Amino acid sequence: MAGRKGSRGGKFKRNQFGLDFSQFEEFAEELDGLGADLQEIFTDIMEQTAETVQEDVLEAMNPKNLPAKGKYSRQKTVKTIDKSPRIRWSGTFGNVGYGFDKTKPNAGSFLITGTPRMSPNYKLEDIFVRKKYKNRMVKDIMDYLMAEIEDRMGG
Amino acid sequence: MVDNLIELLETFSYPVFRQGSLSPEVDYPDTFFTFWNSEETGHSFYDNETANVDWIFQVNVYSTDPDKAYNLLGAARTLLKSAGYVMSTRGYDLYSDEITHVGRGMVVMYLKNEN
Repeated sequence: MAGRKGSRGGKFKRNQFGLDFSQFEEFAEELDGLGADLQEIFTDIMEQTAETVQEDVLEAMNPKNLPAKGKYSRQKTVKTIDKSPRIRWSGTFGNVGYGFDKTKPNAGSFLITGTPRMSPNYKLEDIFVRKKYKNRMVKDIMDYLMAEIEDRMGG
Repeated sequence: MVDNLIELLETFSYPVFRQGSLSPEVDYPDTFFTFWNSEETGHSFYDNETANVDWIFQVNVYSTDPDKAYNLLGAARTLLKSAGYVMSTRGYDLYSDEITHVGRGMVVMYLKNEN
């Protein structure tokens, strides 16, 4: 365990938002049968998902959602939001490293977890911890895939 | 479920607080737990009634001794697991208000049958 005490996160230096794409297998098979470029479609989906989540993270950083209405270092924290999400695939699991870049000072990850003296930020918790947000993303992706299938079927 | 979680964490004989509840005027104890209930939501439904409920908690340990923070969170994970909680992460570093303390946390879930 040497070195862990001083670690700044290594490969976990960004908050990760992951989706298991195997749940969209039936849609993918249907699209494949219709001659669609699956890699292009799913990369596009991940990019759109990352963009949506990033907008929601920025909204969560609105002063009204922050302790003391953002009186303390809001601008510095906003600057640590990663503006160029990178997509990583591990099997059917897609991860977007976005949110707060923990390698920068004042990164806002503590707003998700809170501290003993500060409750977590409700909106950020919604994005990173609760299931409802992710379920809504899954539904949006399913709607998108359905629309792609209908387009290709000439519907 | 909150009471159940607190009771389990208290078996380690360290203070247990709700995250955010410590006053700025009060010093951190040397080692302590905090928790936060992120979600209590219906998981499945039968005959217009909630059959199962998802409980999601953040469980954290803060300590002046980094080894204790790691080991205590590991022990809490083992205990909570034996009590029916599940966790998808083993742990992550936490920001601490006090430079003297190291924080480690994890997200734990419990699927509670309502019947």
